[in-house]
Amino acid sequence: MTPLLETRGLSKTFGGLKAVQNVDLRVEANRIVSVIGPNGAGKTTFFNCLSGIYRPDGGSILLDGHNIAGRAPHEICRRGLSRTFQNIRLFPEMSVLENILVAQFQRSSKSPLSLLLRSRYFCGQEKSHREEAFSFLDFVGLAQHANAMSGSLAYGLQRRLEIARALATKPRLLLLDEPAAGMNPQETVEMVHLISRIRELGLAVLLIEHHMKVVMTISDEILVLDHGVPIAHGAPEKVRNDPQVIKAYLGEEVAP
Amino acid sequence: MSSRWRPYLLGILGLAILTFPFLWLQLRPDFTENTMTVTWAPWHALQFFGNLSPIFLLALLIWAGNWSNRRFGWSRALAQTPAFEKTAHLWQGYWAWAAMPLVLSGAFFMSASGLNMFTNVGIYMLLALGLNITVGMTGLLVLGYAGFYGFGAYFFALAQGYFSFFPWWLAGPLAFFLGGGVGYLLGLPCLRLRGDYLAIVTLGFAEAFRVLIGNLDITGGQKGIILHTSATFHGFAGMRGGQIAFIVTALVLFLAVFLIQRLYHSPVGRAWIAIRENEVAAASVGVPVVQMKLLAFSLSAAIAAAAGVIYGAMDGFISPEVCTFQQSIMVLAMVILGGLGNSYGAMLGAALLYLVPEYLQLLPSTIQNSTALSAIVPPFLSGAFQHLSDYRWLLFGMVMVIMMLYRPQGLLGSRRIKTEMRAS
Amino acid sequence: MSSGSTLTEILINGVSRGAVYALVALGYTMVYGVLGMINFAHGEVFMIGMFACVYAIGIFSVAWGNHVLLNLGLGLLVAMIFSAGYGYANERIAYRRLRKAHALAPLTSAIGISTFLQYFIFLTVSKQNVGFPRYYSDMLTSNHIHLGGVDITYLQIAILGLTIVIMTGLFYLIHFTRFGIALRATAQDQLMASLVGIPVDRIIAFTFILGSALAAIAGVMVSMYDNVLVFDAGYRVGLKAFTAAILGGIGNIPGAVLGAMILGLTEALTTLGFGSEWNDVSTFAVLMLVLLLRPRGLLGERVADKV
Repeated sequence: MTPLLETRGLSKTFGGLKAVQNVDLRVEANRIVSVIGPNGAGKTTFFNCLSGIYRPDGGSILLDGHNIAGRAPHEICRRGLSRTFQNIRLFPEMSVLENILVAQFQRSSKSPLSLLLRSRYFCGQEKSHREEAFSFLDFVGLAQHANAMSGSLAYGLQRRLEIARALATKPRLLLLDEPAAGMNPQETVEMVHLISRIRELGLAVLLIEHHMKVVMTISDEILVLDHGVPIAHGAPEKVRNDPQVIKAYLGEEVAP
Repeated sequence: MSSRWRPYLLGILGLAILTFPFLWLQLRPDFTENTMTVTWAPWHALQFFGNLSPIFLLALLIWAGNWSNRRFGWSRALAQTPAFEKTAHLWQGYWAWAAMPLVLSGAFFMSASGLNMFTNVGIYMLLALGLNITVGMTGLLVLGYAGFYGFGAYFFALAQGYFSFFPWWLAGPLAFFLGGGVGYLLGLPCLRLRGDYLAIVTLGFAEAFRVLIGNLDITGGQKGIILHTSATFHGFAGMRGGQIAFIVTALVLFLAVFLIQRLYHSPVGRAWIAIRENEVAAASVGVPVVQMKLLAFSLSAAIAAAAGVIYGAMDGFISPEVCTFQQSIMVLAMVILGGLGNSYGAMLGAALLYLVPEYLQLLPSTIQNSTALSAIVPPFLSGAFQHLSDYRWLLFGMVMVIMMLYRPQGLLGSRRIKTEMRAS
Repeated sequence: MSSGSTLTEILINGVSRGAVYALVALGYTMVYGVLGMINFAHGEVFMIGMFACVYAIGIFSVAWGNHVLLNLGLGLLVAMIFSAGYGYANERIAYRRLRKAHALAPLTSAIGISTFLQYFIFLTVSKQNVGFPRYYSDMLTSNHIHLGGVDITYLQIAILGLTIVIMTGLFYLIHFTRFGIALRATAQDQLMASLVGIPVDRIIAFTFILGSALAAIAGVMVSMYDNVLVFDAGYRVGLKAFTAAILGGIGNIPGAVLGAMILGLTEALTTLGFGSEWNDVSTFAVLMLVLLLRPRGLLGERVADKV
């Protein structure tokens, strides 16, 4: 059976900097895989290659067996991969609800005639999309904020809105870039809960996170990157005790 | 207290020094020796300020109104009066439909010059609406919008030479699609890039187009082209050409507002706003950014081309003047002044920026012709009003600056718009 | 050899014109490099420089008679000071308070300043063209040296010499002085620069002042070269210089010079081949061509977008 996502020898360089080198990763459906590594390890670059924001220099990205390497972000999104951003990227001057509605773009009819004449089909679709958007907002607990400007939301809520927006594209694989960054312990617990509920929806999650507690509790597998090179891969317990990982995080002991 | 006023005093002093030679001195070319002398000409500056006195008066009035409002809060009290509350809802929903018969009936009681003026307003509104799609909604800066306007007008004029029968109602829709096509071809290479490149390429296109038509023989060069009367708006069913022009412009305008508002409240409109707000995020939630930008840009190009045909049919004469850089900037200023992203704002901006200078130009003769007004307006002011038409561009510049400083979102722009149009 | 020498003359004309465009284009490109905004009023600052010089010459000739070199030199200085003042005022009025507003706000206010200045000069100085006093420009335009079969006027030498000196100075300023480091830091990240103690406001103001002073030099040179001063000259030359800045890759200083030289040569060759009325067409045709092949301009680098 083909995995949901498979990268083979994925590489990306900036000038002389090899940001990501030869990353092989398989993500099976409905699994939570974490990508960890020290700062500057190439985690976000890896995500940017997967979601089409960067064009990888080498290797392939197979989503359901189709190579999506170098495709435009919106095409990759259509194939069922959606993401959030490390530094939140909402549409700040749109309402919370409109943020979700934008994400339904791919699934909505854009036939000019029905759009301009407001055909019954179009109106029905708008209505059902609105209801669906509310259900996504409900899922992340934002329904009561639906008409607020998204830019005016509190930080934690903005993170949740971004996740809801990503879910509204109906992905099969969700990429979360540090969803718990800057959150207090209470919010972090809620975020862990949210991520496991996303898995219950039947999605696979690829997660970048610095919170080791979060990573160790919810991950099925962990990939460790250091300077763009994968140095360990496997179940949480195995990665936790890997000498190379400890070295990457804590540095080498200075020789006497 | 003194430290509060010091920067202002220093600023005024600095400006006084910088403007000193231009205001208080006058250049005198000395032709015998081919040199230049400068003479002291204080009346020159006094005349300048004297001519501006109505404006100072107006500014003082506005300032006093603003100050008293802050002090006594009369605008809030006014908004709470029952009469205002009852009329406030008129501004929501479908008030445009109610306005339609009112506007159209205008064709039957306005004078020929009034009709001409308001047809021009309608054309500028159409242009502002079109440009608002790219600049206001999608967040793409376009600096050569008048190029498409000129394209439409010249397409209409040149086609006269090849087809014996090519009236405006045939040319308009054709120009719409052709203009859209030109926009598409122009946008294709530069919309893939981020940053201001669209702005620059459209600017280049418009300038090259203007110079090209100014130099070619078939376009009549700088002299322009006079259109066949059969192709322009002419009398029909007992109505004069001016009336037809007004009605057609108004109808096209209503249609444009209707369609643009429908688009705005649809997945396409939301995609445009999303691109304006955050391009990367829009792409990653499935918005085909390049296609949507191309759609926005070619649609606005198409609207400009159609407006060009209306202009040609109304005026019966076109010259390279229709697509100068100033024209592009003017339309951009209308959109920004009215409120970026708001169609009604764009129309309001167009009306204000076209009508206010026009009325300033007409004011002197209005005062002279009206005994009542010439009795009220003191003689020193009526002399100043004589020169006001010369000063309208000066005022235009001042208003643009003051507007941006105190209300950068424009008149009807309720939301603060953050457009990231920088290359990095 | 006559055709060869004509070609050389054309080339020298083109290079001198290009040098003038370069001086103006630098102002556009520096402000864009630091603020990421197009300074629309820059052309008008150039025009102010033209008029300020002629006014200064007028005053000096009344004050102490017609000393050509002294008056011209002082006139140039006055023009630079005045243009710098207008550039600074432009920054204070149209840009500083709007730096955090949406990107179209400073653009619009700069359009406002530009229109205001044009019509201010139109109303207060002259509605028609003014000629540069020939008594002063003749010495530079009619005297020439004979070099390799070509005549080069003193003015052309002055233009080229000044431009080379200024470019060298600018290069040194930006790459080897503390100010240059501060400038480049501000261009990269204003917030971070201010956090490490760089007076960002002053650096930006100085960028405007520097660009405006260079524009004034160009203004004086052009007004002598073409013998015309007019209120909308800034718009015309500004548009060309802006095009040059884009041609070379806006924000890139050597790019602006390269773009301006290409533009100057294109114009000179067009004048030779088709006549000067086709200058604008060929200019923008070159711009289109370059943008299609190298969308970020000739020397503009592709910056990776931060995600």
